[in-house]
Amino acid sequence: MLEYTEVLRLQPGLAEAHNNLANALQRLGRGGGGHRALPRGFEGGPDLAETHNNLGVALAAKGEMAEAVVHYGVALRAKPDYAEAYNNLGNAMVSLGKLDQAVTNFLTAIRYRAQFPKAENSLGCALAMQGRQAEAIPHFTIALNLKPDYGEAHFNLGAALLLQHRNGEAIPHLEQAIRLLPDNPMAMSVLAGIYATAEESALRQPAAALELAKRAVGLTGGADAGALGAPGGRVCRQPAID
Amino acid sequence: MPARSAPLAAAYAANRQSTNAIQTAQRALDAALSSGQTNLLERLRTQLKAYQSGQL
Repeated sequence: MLEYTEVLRLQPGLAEAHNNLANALQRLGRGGGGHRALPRGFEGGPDLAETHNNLGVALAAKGEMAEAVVHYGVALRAKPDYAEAYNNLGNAMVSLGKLDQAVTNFLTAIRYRAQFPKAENSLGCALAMQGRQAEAIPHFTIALNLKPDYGEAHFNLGAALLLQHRNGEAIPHLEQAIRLLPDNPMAMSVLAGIYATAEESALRQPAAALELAKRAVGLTGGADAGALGAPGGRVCRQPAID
Repeated sequence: MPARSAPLAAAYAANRQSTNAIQTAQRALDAALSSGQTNLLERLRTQLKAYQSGQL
């Protein structure tokens, strides 16, 4: 890390050093120091789009969304068809509560990369967070067609179906989410809720509900409160940065 | 659907374990109160009341 910073001090325009520093910060979960090494007004060309995108990701991981947005913007000016940066910008907009802008950015990401499961999942999330479950469901479905083992998309599709009272359709996706994300309690809690209280008696499985709910509570350190469906509660799960 | 707010309590209720259901729902309500999760409070109160009145 110190070596990259020193190289940047001596050669502020060296693209590889910016990129190495950004990657190092991201691996460490830090973004606050390195981005300040960027010279003011330095935007680079298409080759540096990835550097600014990586810096944006590192800043976003630290919760510095406004600064992340700046770097995504620089990346997109350098490379206007950079689908990954549009997706990241959309995620930053979600964090800032700007859901309409998030939707626009996710749609642009998909326009530039037609087969982009992460952006389809993100778009579904932004729509679901606006209460537009019926519009979100096809995007989660596309994400799963492109990447069948996408645990987050299975969870999000299951949750969206549940919020549309389509319990029977939600169950297999929640089961898949549990299989694919065994350390995550959300899908367990939601599926336990269905098994415990489904209006359709054929779907109720009290013993399985209790087993799942206990597993979920064990993973959350004792908490038994799922926010799914609560007013203002977040519905969606996004994968960790990948 | 109150089970979305405290699924373990709902699971106890579904298994006719009323004491566990009430205690678990009360703990979830206390946790929501202390952590300021106001969006959950009404659901949890409704859920707890249902178990206390024997609606399992």
